[in-house]
Amino acid sequence: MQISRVKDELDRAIHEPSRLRIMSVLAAAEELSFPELKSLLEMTDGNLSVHLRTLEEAGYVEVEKDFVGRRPRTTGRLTRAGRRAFGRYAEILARLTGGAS
Amino acid sequence: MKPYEAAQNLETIRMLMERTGRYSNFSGISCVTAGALAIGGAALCRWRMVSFESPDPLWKLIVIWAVVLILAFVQNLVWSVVHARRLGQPFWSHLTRQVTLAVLPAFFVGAVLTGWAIHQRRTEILPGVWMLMYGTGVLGVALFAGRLLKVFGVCFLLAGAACLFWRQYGVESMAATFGLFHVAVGTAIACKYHV
Repeated sequence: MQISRVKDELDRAIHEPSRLRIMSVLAAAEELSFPELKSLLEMTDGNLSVHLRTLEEAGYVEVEKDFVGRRPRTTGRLTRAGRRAFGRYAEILARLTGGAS
Repeated sequence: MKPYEAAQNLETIRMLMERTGRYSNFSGISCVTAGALAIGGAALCRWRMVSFESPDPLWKLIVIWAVVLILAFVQNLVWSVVHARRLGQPFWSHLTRQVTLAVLPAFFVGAVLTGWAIHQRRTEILPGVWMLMYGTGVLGVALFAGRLLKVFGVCFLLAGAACLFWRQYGVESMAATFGLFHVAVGTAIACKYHV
């Protein structure tokens, strides 16, 4: 296996550690609210917002803002493209680890 | 990236997905397929004049719905395995085991009551019993999943309760609940969550 070639295939938008963590929890849940994401990932508001925006711009995450009663609520979920990209990313990692053995 | 770094990243993904504690091996397409199979089973019953109220012969009723159940189960299982592999997850994960345990009691009771109803030739109660047990099982899964499944489970419980009191529409109620409910929820899952 050519590790350098496989490395080139890794999606930069997902590969950054914080964004990989966001993608992982959203892949496991249908959708998560902003506070849920914060507590699961132990990230600050600012950090989480920045990375969510990057993923949203890449078309991998949908962020929805609505109100529950009078309280604003922000929820995030993976888009179809996001699920595909995350699946591809996991496949590449699996190939890389296969190369180790 | 070195292989050990890739392994570390995979481990991070696994750990976070487990920690999220949400069961997400659902597929809208699989749900719609299950609904289509139930509607097909109901249509076959109507075509072959097989009813729950006076099944004659009984074996036709049993075969039709056993085939529907097996096909729905197998296609759902296949999809779940494919989905888990696509995400680099083990299919038989800790969470999957918990979900299975949450569902098993309802399905065991459903199987026992089905056996009793067939033995006593009281098959007219089967649609209601199946809906009640399925609704209970779905609510068990909903403990690990989103709100949509909770609503889905409650709908089955209400429909099951109604079917036990109005037993003359067995086949139609099977098409409406196991058929249309699944199609509606499957479509909602596919549109909203892209799975």
